[in-house]
Amino acid sequence: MDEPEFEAFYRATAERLRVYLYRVCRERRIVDDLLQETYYRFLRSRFAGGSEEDRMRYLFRIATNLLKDHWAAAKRSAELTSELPDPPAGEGMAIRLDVHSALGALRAADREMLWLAYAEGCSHAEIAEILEVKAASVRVLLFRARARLLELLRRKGGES
Amino acid sequence: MKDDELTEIFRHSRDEERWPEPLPAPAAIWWRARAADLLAGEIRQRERKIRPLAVARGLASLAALVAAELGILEGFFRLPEEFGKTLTAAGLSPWTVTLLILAAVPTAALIYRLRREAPAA
Repeated sequence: MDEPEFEAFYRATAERLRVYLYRVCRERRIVDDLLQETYYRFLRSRFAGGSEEDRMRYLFRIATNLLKDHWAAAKRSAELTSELPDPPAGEGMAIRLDVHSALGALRAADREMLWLAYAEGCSHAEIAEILEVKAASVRVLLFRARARLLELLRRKGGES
Repeated sequence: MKDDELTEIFRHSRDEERWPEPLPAPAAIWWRARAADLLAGEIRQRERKIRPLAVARGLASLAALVAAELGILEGFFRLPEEFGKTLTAAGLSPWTVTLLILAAVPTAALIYRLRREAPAA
């Protein structure tokens, strides 16, 4: 991949990846470092996938592994900060805030799973490929993650 | 909450959330990867170049060691009888002394090599 081709690919995909990294790791200060490292490893891997979606999935896979490495090295899962960006104004803002706040209370693995399924619209097979889990277990894991998210939202609704 | 609603909320985040900070420059990432590729290529090439030299050096060291050990053995067989008697009187058999010297040669070579290759503190 030459420089102009990489730049076009980067411009088309980096914002999506940055939001994923942020929504999963919730540590704003490290997101750009992880983003750069993801693209760096992507380039070094000389991935020869065909479509942009293939490349995108591969990027998500690298990013997910980098997040795992980061947590393993820093053992920070328990002390994650919750620096949310300014929410976009408009209709439905309250429910969006509730969902993101509940999402932040979930385990990182659940956040990854839910984001890939609902934000990226990945199929179970694609989620399995990105998260490196068995394809057969994605359905159950996703169902559980969704149930935990809804339970948190229900509790939030009860509190307010 | 239905799947459609969840999808709408997540998609909204994905498509509408933009950070105030600009994205890191792609050129910096590309050049970093390119530099790493070039460096890795250079190291591989260098290793390929010096491999025959390293093999030859290893073989030469082995030959020198074998020659030294054979020289010691030959010296032992040509040892003057009086010298052997002196050693025996001192409580050492000539064989013991020869074995000690035979063991000392590779040990000294190993120590010398380790000292030379140890990184400077």
